[in-house]
Amino acid sequence: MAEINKEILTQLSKYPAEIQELAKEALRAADSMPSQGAIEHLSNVVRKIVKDKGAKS
Amino acid sequence: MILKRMTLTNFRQFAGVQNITFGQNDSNVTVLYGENGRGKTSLFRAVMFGLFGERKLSQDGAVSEKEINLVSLHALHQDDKPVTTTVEIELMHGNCDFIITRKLIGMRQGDKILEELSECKLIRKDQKGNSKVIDDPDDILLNIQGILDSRVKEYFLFDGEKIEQLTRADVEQRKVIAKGIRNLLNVDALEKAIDITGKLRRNLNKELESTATGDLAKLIRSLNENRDRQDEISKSLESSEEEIDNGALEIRRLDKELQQYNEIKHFIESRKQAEKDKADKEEELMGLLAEMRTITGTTSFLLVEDVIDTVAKDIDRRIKKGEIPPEMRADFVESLLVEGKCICGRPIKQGSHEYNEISQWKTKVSGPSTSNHILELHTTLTGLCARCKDFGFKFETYAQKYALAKHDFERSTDRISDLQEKIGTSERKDAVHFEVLREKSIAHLAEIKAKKIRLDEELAFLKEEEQRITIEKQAKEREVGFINELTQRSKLVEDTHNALHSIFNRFAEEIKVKIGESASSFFQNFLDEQGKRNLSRIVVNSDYSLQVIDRWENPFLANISAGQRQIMSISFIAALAMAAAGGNILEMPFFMDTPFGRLSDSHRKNLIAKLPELCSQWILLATDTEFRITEASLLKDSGKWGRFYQLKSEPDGSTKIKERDIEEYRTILKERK
Repeated sequence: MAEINKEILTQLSKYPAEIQELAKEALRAADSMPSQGAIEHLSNVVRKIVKDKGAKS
Repeated sequence: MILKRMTLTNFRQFAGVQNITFGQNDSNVTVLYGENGRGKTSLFRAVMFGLFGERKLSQDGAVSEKEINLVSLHALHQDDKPVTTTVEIELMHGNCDFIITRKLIGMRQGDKILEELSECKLIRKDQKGNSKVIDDPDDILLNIQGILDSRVKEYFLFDGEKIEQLTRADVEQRKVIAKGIRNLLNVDALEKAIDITGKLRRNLNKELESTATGDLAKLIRSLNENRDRQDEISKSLESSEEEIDNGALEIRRLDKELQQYNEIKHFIESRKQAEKDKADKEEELMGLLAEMRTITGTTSFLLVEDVIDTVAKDIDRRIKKGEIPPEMRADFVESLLVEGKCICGRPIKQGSHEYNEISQWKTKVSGPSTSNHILELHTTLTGLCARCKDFGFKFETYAQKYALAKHDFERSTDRISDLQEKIGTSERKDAVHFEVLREKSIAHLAEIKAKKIRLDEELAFLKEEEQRITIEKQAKEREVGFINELTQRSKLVEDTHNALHSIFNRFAEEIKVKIGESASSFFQNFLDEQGKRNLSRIVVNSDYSLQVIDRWENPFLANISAGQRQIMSISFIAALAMAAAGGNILEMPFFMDTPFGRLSDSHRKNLIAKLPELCSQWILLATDTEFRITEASLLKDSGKWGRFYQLKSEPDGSTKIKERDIEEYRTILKERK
C-alpha cells in the first residue's frame, strides 16, 4: 500500500504545484473522511489555494 | 503464505476430528481425491472460513449466507445437543508461524439449523519462539489481510465456473477480469479521491452556471447536463448488468424446474446443448468478423491488385529482356559527347550526323537513379503481389469458416425453435407454465441487452461531446474574459480530477500489460508443441476482454480449442494471483478444482510438470474421472507430489479424510480408458 501511495505521489509530481497540493489533500481526505465531509473540506482547500495564488501574483 | 495443516471438527460432511497436512517446499503438491459430493469444495470452504470467517464462496452465486450450513449435520442428528464446529489452520508467512482457530455452535430449532460464531483466535509465533494471542476479530482480520488481501482470495480457487467465465468473450468475462485488475490495483483512496473531486467539480460548475451569461452560460449548462446524463447512464448500465445477471440466473432456475419433467427432459437437455452451440457459434462468428475486419483494414491496395500485377509483370518482362537496367546509361552517352570520341576511336564532331544521333539516343536512355527506382518499384510490387495472394487466400479461408459457422448458427437456431415447440406443447400444464415464463425471461433479457447497447453508445457519444464542449467553453471564457475566483477554483478542481483520473488509468494500463505478459509466459509453458508454434501470446484488451494472438499477430481466440481455452484461463488466473502476491512465483496456495477437465494429454503433462515449479503450493481437488493412473504417474515422476488424501464415504453418509501413501495410487486410482 505504501509503495502504491509513493507511486501516486511520483506520478503527481509531474503536475503543477497547486494540482499536487489539492490532489494530495483529496487523497488524505478520501482515506480519512466520509464523502460529504471530504467534499466540504476540499472546497475550503480549493478556496485557500486560489486565494494564496492570487495574493502571490 | 504456506499452508501447513488444517484440522476440522464437525465441519459439513466431515464428522468428528479430521486432519490434513499440506505438502510444502520440494514436495509442494497435495492431492485431495474423491468422487463428486465427497466434500472437496467444502475443504476449500473450510480454508476460507478459517482465514476470513467467510462461509460463502463466489461459486455459491445468489445463495444467501444463511442458507449455507457449516456444522456437520451428521453430528447434529446423532443427538439433539448443540454441536461445536471448529476449523484450525496452521500457516507460515514471512518468518512467523500462525495458528488461526474459528469455532461456531450449531443447533437445531424445529426444522431449521441455527449457527452462531463462538470463538476466534489467532496465535502468532515469531522466529525466537515468542507467541502472541490475538482474539479481537478486527485485529485478527487485519493480521490475516497482511498475509493475504481478502480481495484477492478468490484467485486461490480455480474451478470449472472460473474457466467458463474467462473463456467466453462476453460481459461476464470482462467483469471478472476488470474486477480482478481493480482488486490488484488496490487504490481505494485514489478511486475515492476521483469520486470526491468529481462531485466537487459538479458543485462548482453549478455555481458557475448561475453567474455566467450568454453563450458561456449555455456552454456551462450543456456541460453540466452532459455530465449529469453520463452519471445517470453509468447507474443505468450498472443496473442493466445486474438485470442481465439476474435474467440469466432466472433462466437457469427455470431450466432446472423444467428438467424435472421426464417426458420433456430429453428435449430440454437437447435445447440446452443447442443454445450452447448457438452461443459458441455466435462467438465464433463475432471473432471471425473481427479478424476479417483486421485484415481488410490493411488491404486497401487490393483495390488496384490488377494494376499492380500488370506493372510488376511488365517490369519483370523488361528485366528479363535486359532493358532494365539499360545496357547504355545516360552518363556513359554523355561522356561520349563531351569527349567527342566514339568507343571505336572515331571522332564525333558537334553538329555531325553521329553527334545528333547520339544526342537523341541520350534522351532515350535513363540515368542510374531512374533504373534504381524502377528496380525498387519492382521489388515493392513483387512483394505486394505476394501479399495480394496471401491476403486473398487468408480472406477466402476466413470467408469459408464464416459461411460454415453461419450455417451451424442457423441450424442451431432452427433446432432451438423446433425443440421449443415440442416443449411448449407438452401435456404437463405446469411444465408449459415454466416454458412460458422461460420464453418471457429470454425476451426480457434480449430487451435489456439491447437497452444496454444503446446506453453504451450514448455514453460514448456523450464523452466525445464533453470534450468538445469543454474546449469550446475554455475558448469562450478566454474570449469574454470570464476569469474570476470561481472559474479559477473550478479549473483547479477540474485539472486535479483529470490528473487523478489519468494516474488511475495509467496504473490500470500498466497492470493490464503486466498481467498480459505474465499470462503469456504461463501460456507458453503449458501449451503443447503445436500450440506454441501457432499461438504467440495473451493480451488484456482495453475493454478488459482477453484475446489470444497468433504467430502472425492476428486475434485468434475464436479459433482455439476448448483445451487451449482452459490453458488460457489457468494462465490468466495464475498471472492475476502472481501479481496479487507481488512475487516471481505464486506465493500462495493454488487450489484447483477438477483441473484437467478438457485438457489433452500433452496439456495435462505440461501442467503437471510445470505448475508446481511456478507456485508455492498446488492443491488439487480431483475427481476419479480425471485424476487417473496416467496423471498420478506424471505427478509422481515430477518429484513434487507431497501428500495424498482420499475422501471416502462412510456408511452413515459422512466423509472420512484418509491419508494415503503416494505409492498406493496404483491401487486406488483407475486406469484411463
